[in-house]
Amino acid sequence: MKKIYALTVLGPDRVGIVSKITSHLAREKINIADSSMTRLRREFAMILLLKSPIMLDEKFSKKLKKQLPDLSFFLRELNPDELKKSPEPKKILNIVLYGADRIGLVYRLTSTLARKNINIINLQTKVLDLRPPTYLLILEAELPAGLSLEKVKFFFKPLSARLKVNLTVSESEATKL
Amino acid sequence: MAIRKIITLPDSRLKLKARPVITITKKIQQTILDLIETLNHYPGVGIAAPQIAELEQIILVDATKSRRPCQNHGQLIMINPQIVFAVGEITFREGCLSIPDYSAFIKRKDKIVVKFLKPDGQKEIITATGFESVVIQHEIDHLNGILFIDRIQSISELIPRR
Repeated sequence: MKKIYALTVLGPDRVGIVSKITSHLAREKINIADSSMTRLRREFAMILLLKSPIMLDEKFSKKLKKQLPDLSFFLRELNPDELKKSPEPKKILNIVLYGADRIGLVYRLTSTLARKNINIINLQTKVLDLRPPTYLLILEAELPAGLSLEKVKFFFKPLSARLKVNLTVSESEATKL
Repeated sequence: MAIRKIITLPDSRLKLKARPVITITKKIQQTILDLIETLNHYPGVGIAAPQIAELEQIILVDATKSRRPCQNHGQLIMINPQIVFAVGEITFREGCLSIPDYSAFIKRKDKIVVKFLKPDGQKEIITATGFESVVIQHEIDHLNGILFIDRIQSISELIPRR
């Protein structure tokens, strides 16, 4: 039975990182299931779910490190519970926040979500180079059953006023592709 | 007439809804003149009154300022503009005088029918297509406190000016 691992890769970005990692995986006959890669300014970040016919250990990470010495590799085997697919969210909350940049914006927003048992599934932030610097946050979260969009809007209204930011909350149906 | 300061993000006044114009007063006429002079001064093709901190439903669109020739009605001063019909889809890279140095590809209606009042108070209905239609929709968004960044789904869609 194939084992499943999560491989996380971090480090300074340059041309050819994905190519080197994936060629190594192909040579080892390791299949890439899901993967996600992004770049924050010059920092490369990638997470891959790997299906391997053999057990992977530290030697595997070391081989990758030898080829890409300035990157960090972290390998973790997933247990059967983690392999269960999370149910597709029926309704997705879309939250857009922007306002003058200052410490604590993400914390205050996300702690409000956590208190309401709303799970974040995607989060992106960026400081826009405006005067003054403007913080832009876009997130997607699962809208739990029994919680309406109107209720979410209601408890975010005072937060938006307190933080002096624009906060837009909308809802979308999960699209099956 | 005066070149007015354009308010930019994160100024929260950009998120307010503009009031409909009931009577075309001298103040409204002054706002229109200021919009004309301000748009002439800046490299934009449209401007809405909230961008100069006037919370009135007035927009100015001038698609003749487009770098590429396009179908247009010349300089349009639109009071209380309302889209009464919209069809088709068009995606355009939009920038905004209130969000300098950023742009994004935004999906809009390709063809719109807009009714509005002209500065002399007369009712007018026009059909706009393509680029001019996009500019009108962008400026009407301003009257409702909507910026183009409210229409993006992901930060990666934002294109900084290089």
